Amino acid sequence: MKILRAPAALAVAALCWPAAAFAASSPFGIATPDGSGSVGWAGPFKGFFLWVAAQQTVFYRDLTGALGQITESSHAAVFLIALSFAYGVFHAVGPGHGKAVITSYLLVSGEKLKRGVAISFAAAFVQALTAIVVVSVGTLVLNVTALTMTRATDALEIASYAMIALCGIWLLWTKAFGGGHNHAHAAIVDPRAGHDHASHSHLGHDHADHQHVHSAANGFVCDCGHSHAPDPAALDRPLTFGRAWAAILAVGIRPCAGAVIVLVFAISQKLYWAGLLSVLFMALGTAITVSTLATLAVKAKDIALRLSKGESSGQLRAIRGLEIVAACGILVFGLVMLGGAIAAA
Amino acid sequence: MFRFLIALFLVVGGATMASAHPHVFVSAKEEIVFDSEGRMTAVRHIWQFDEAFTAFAVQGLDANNDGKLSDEELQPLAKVNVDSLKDYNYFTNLKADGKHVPMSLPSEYWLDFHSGRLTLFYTLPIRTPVLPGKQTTLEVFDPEYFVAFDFIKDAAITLTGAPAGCKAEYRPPHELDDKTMSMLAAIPADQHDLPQDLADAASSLASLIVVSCP
Repeated sequence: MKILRAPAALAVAALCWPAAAFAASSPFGIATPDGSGSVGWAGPFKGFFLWVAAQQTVFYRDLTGALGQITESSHAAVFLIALSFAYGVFHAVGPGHGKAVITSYLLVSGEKLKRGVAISFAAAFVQALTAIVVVSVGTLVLNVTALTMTRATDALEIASYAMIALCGIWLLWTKAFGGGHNHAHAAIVDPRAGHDHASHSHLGHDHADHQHVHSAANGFVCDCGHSHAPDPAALDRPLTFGRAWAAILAVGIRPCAGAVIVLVFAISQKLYWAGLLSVLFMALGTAITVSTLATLAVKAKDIALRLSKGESSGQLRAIRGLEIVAACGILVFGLVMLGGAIAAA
Repeated sequence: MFRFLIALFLVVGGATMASAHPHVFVSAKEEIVFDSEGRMTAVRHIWQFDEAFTAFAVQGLDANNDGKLSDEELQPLAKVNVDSLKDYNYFTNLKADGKHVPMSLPSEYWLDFHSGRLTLFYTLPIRTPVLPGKQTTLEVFDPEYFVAFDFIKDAAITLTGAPAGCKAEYRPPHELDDKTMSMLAAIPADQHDLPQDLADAASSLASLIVVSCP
């Protein structure tokens, strides 16, 4: 039946393809808005989102103002850093900073919290780096127009959504169709007969029974992150991004329109270093917001799993069902945005 | 416990809702042109972009590197601007006595770069010239909030060739009620031209220019 996994996953993906698409074009042809561009002014959190939007506007205007005044005032640099950071914190609440993708990825893959935070920071930093590279090359090396840079970031946006969709496919595949144990250490001779779960140190959660799902240790992004090996060295595995690189890149290769505008503005004022500082501190703010949300999600899952210990396997199945929903969510999101971005291109 | 988890999913999902903020800040001046019979024939926009967006927009346009941006150097960008605005209905909503007035494609457009600020000038002819009626409203507004329009206080609106007695005033925006907000939120993101009733509802978020003629 293994041979049917790939076509089945693709069939699920095809079924998930929605009819609607979010076209993210741009009113002036330059500078594409982040994400869908729709305004969520309704619902129970309406007041909060209005307030967040207002804060973003204030911080964005103030930080561009501070940039303009940096040569005249010594305090302006400090203001620039503080404002950029504050802007990043609030801006990550809006579309386009990997909250949904990273949070869903963490919930589904079962990565431990420290790595989840590290992944959030890495994604934000990669996003800043992308903006810096695109603008530096575009402005200082090639001296291209805003239109060309917009086309470049639009292309990166398409790539980003394609990678997000891919991540969704893999997550869905492993959660929905992955079954049985296929551990990395299968080849190791284990003197203990069968698994003795009581002696394992599972990172953050217990298992009531054998009902957890392991993905094939195939090296791709969605390894479950568990370590069943009795080998203590494996438990102290250093933080590497090997598995999560796809999720990080998927989020990070699309630069933020605000960061691009601020950088070009800074360069036009001959203040490259100030622009760099601003974008890096924006990324720091973004990282904090995204990792906070991701932490909340992972903690909630941990609590849920801990509380379900000793209860029916039905609840564990329900949690797995939610994980499948999350994986499908990433896939649908990636496909919808990909369709829209291609349509708008 | 499960309720908490579901609630968390909702919060995370809700947190991905847009709370977008403007990336372009425009100081706008508007002009309505009348013909000899007192009908409105065109709307002229003068939109000055903020410093940061200006710097971004003019990047790489100085082809001959003389430190100045000539009309020829700016014209391709002006065309891109105006072509892109078409999908957004030029952010313009003109109504005469409550009836929406359709516009044609811009008859002229150009960009001006001066003192670090880029300004877009363009004229939207009214498809069929129409009398202003008792009250005409002009609203210039981006419901997706990527562009923020701000009107220059005492110079927001000029009436050119208007019949005697016509007066124009600028009214700042006021709060939207819940019902309208949820209607706006229900619009799919790729639908830039709002249905007329919603465009009207959105108008209360925008600055409004009101022209009253006897």
